[in-house]
Amino acid sequence: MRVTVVTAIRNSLRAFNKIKPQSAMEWNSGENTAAVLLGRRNIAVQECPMPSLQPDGVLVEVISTGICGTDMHSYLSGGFGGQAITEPIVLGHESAGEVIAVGGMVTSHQVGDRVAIEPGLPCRRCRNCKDGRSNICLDLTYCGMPGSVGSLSRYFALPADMAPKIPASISWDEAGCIQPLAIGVQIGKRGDLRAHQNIAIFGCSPIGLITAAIARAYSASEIIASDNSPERVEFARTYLSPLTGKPIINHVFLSEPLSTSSVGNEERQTTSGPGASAGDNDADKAEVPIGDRKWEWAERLAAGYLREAGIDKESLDRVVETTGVEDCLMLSVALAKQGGTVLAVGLGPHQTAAIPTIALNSKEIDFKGIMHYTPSCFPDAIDLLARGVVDLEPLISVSFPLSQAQDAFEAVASGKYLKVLIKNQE
Amino acid sequence: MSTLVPSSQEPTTQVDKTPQDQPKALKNDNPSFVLHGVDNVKYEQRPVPEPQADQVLVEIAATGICGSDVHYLKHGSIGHFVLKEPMCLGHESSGVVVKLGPEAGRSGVSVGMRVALEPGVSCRSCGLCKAGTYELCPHMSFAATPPIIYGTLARYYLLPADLVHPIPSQVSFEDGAMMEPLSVGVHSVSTLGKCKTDQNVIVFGAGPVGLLCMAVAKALGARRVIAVDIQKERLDFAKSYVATDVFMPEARGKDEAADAYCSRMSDLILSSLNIPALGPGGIDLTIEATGAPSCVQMGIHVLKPSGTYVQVGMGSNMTLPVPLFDVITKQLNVTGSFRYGAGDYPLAISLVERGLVDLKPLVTQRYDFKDALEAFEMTRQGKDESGKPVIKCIIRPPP
Repeated sequence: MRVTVVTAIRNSLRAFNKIKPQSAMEWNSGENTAAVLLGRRNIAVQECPMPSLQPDGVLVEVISTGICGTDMHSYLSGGFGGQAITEPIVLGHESAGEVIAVGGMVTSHQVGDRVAIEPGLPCRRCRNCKDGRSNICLDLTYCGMPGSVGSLSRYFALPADMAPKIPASISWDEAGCIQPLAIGVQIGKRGDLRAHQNIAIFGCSPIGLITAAIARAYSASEIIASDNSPERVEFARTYLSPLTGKPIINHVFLSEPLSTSSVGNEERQTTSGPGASAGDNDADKAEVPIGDRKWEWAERLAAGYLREAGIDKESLDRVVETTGVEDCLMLSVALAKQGGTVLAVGLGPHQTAAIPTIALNSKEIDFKGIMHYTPSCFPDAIDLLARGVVDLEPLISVSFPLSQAQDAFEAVASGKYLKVLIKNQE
Repeated sequence: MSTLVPSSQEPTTQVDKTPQDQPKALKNDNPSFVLHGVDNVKYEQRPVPEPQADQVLVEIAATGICGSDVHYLKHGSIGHFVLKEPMCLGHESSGVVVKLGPEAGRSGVSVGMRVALEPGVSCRSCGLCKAGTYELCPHMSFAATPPIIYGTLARYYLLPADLVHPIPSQVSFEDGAMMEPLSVGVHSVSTLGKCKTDQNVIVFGAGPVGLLCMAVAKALGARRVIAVDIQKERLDFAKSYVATDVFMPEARGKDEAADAYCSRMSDLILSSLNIPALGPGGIDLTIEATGAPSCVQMGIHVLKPSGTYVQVGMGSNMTLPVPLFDVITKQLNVTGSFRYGAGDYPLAISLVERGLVDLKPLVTQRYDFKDALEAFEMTRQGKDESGKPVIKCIIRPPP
C-alpha cells in the first residue's frame, strides 16, 4: 500500500524506465502522425514522435477531433493572438479516442476505455487551481497553443484524470464535440443558467447553439437568439430539442449592424427645456461618441426583439454573448433585465469594444468574462449526452480524414459548415 | 533529566537571512521523534530525504504540539486513523528551505527562504481537489497521521514547493510554526464563517484553537468577540488577549435536564452580555471549538436568524444532539470545518505580518528536542511543572 506520495512516485519511476510501456510495445503502432500548422493557411500532415506515457497518464488512440473557430483563426493568421508562430505546432483540442495503454500508477482506466480528452494541463498548484478555477490557472498549458502539443494526431497522452470515460452510447462523432459542450456547461455554471429563465444568445455557431441546447435541457423558459448569417439563422430555427421534439430556440433574429446615425434628433429639439440654446444641436453632434449613437439604436432594437418574442421588458434574465462583436455586446446589455447577467463568451476581432457603462451601472448588471471550463464540466457534458438531453449530431456537418486536414480547415474557413470533424485514424 | 525552565529566547536556528550564494551545508543525519505505540516514543536516525520533482527540503526551526499529537501518543489512533507502523510525530512547523528538487526552481521558492509548512499533500487530481476543496481529498498525505510515517519533529522535512509558505523577517520561526493552527482559525472564521467587519462573534472553547479563532475574528474587524469556557484561567487569558467579553456557564443543576440547562445558559449569555436575540447587536457567527454537547446547543441557541454556525471542535462524541428547531426556524447556516484550504495560509501569514494577530502571547513553554516528551506530557496535563497553564508548547529542532 502506498505509504507516501514520494515513495510511490519513486517506485513507479524506477519501474518505468522505458518510453513505451510493455502493453504499447506489444502492438505494432509505428510512429505517430499529426496535422501541423506551418504558417498562414498551411497545414502539413507529417510523422512525429509518439507521446511519452507518464506513470499517471493514459495513451489514447485518437478517433475524432472537432475543429473550432479559434483553430480557424490560428490557421488563417498563421499564429495566435496576433503573433505568428515561430515553429510548427500541432493543433487540435476537441478530441476523443480509445485508451491503448495506461501508466503504472493508474487504477482508474484500462486498455479499451473510450475517453474524451480534456485539453489544458493546469499546474494544480497555483491559487486559482486550488480554488477550483483551473481554467484560469496561472501556469496553464493549453492544447494546440504555443508551448504545448495539440490532439490532431493519431496518438495522444495525458493524465488519466483528464480523460473522462465515455459510454458506448455516445458516437465518436458526438464525442468530438464534447469539448465545446463542456464550454456550454461552464457557461451554465458561471452564468447561473437555470429553470424558468428567459435567455438571449448572440451567435448561432456551435457555442451559441450548444448554449441554447443546455439552457433548454436546464428547463429555460424563453430562449431567443440572433446571428448575421441567414443560413445559421435558418439552421437555428430547426435545431430541435431531444426532450420536446420542438425547436430549442423560440425566436431567432437575423441581425444587421447597428446604425450610427443620430436617433431622436427631432425628439431632443422638441423636448429641450430651459437653458437650451441654438448652439446645442451642433455641440451634440460634435461630442456624442459613435458608441452612444449605436447604444440608442441598440435599446430600441432590444425592445423590439422582446416585443416580437413576447417577453416582458425587464424579465430577460441572462444574455450569453458568443460573437465578441461590439454591436452584440451593446444589445446584450440592452436586453438584460435589471440585475441580470451578461456573459461575455465570444472572442471578437478586436481587443476592445464600446460598452454601455451607464446602463450596466443603473441596471446593476453582472457583466462577466468566462474562460473554457472547470473540472466538473467534462463529466457533466458527457452525462448530458449519455442521458440524451442534449443532441449534438445535428451540428456535425462534415468530417475529413486526418490526411486531408488542410481541406478540413478550408471547410471551416469557408463558413459553410457548422461543425467540421477530423477522423484522426484515417 | 530535562531542564524545564522555559527560556524566553527563540530557537537559535532563527537566522534572518541565509545568503543565497552560501547555502547552509546539509547535515548528514536526521534525528527524528518517532512514535512506536501507545506511550512508546524513540529518538531515531532516519535518512535525510532527497527532494524529487517539485519538492523542497526544509530544515525545521520550530515545532508546536497539538492535542491530536498527544492523542496519538496516548491512544495510538484518532477515529479511523490507526497507527500501524512507527510514525514520526509533529505537523506544526516552520523552517528554512535548504534544497530544491529538480522541478522546484520555477515555484518561486529558493534556498535560504524562511517558510511556514503546510503539512498536507493532496492528490490534486480527484474531484474534490479540482473542485477547490483540497482539504477534503480522500488521498491526503498528512504529516504525523497514519498511514504516513513522516512528521516534522525531525531535522528535515520534505514538501512540494507550493506547500511551503514564505514568511517575512518580522514573522518569527515560532510564529511560523503557529501558522498551522492559525490557518485552522482562518479556515473556520474567515473562509467558512465569512466573518465580516463589525459582526458579533461568539467562540466556545478558549483553548489554542478557540483563542486563534478569536484572534482571527478580531483581526477581521469583529465588533465583539465573546469567549465561553468553563475554566476561569482560560477566560482570564482570553480577555487579556483578544476577547471583548467572556462568559463562564454555571454548573448544571442536579436534576436539570440537558436541554433546559442549555436553554437557560443561552438566555443567560444574551441577557448578561446585553445581546439581543435578533437585529443589530445580535450574534452573527458561532465558532464551536470544544465539541462538547452543551456548547453545540448553546452555540445554536444564541445565534440571530440567518446566522452562521461553524463546528471546528472535535470532541469525544461522534454524534450528539443538535437543536434542529432553531436551525430550521432561524434558517441557520451550519458548517463543519476541517483543517485549512486554498488561501488560508496566505491570509494567516498576512494577518501576523501586518500585526493584526499577535501569536507571541500564545507560546507558553519551550522545550529542547531531547525533551520533546515533556512537551507532550505538559500539553496533556494542561499545566507545566510550575503550574503555568499550557496554551502552546514549542519544541526546538535537533541541535
